[in-house]
Amino acid sequence: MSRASSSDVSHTDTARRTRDQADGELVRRARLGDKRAFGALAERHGPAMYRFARRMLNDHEAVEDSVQDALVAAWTSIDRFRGDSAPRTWLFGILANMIRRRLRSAARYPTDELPTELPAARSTDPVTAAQAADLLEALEVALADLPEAQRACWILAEVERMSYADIARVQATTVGSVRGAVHRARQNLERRLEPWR
Amino acid sequence: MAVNGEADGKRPERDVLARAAEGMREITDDGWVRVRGSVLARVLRTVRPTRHVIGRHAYGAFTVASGVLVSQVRDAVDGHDERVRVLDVRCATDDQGHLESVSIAVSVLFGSRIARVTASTRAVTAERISRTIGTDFPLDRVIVDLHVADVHPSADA
Repeated sequence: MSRASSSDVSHTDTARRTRDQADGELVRRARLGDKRAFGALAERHGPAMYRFARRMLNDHEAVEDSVQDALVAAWTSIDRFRGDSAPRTWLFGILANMIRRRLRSAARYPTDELPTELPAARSTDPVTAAQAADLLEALEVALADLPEAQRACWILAEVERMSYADIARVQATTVGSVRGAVHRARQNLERRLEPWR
Repeated sequence: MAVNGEADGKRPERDVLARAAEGMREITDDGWVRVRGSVLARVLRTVRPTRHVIGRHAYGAFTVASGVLVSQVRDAVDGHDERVRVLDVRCATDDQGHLESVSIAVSVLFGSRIARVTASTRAVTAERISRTIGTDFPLDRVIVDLHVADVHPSADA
């Protein structure tokens, strides 16, 4: 990936601000009892929340329950959301908390491993699509071997493109810890994906 | 793309990892597609805990959830004047659940005539509350305490 130019950064910042403003409006309406607004918020962030939970938990039911429980908790407590963070960060924070609880419980009561369920790659060129799918599969396997904190921080930073400050909120830790975890995760993943260079 | 102030550089191993991350970002898990409907339905079936407010109609008393009242006020005020956006609505009731006051916080568009906006917001709020909890309910028991909590720029600013 090429180095980001200042215009790229500015574009991304603008896109993030626009997204956060739209989320803020949905939160405002949802706080005032508008279920459709909350539904729209859940639709916007549900796929990313599921993506994150899916890579952190080892059980289909646990993934579904965690996302559902997180959204229910968000809905029932939304009047206490004061806008100290972006709505997306707030939603991920609730979800990450649910996941941590489940992981602690799963350590005591292990479940069957989640079968590999890889989505089709988007490319229409079969060779490119196959390569992309293989690379994704290799990443999934490498990710699964990472320690939980590294995995969570790397996904939030590199896949969900959250700032370290937001990840620290989500993971209930410090920015320094996040930076360290992402760095170590990167090194581990780069080593595992070396054959793909 | 460097989100956290760290340049991605041109190292090939980083390029592969960035490509893989991008691939993961662009796909929607089949699992989400499968459970999306049931998850959202379950969430939207969940009722938020709310107090009840007593209303009156020609045949006697009834109760209405304060959340419904709040939602009604938002709907009325938001829909009445695009210069005003409701930020918060609080209903205060006595021990029996009779509505004593409604406190509404709004954001108004920069440059709006505050006094005019305030008066119309108060009128719309009182009218909707009255309609929701019953026309026989005396309006003088509803105190609309309105304050301006914020200003927002126009959409094209």
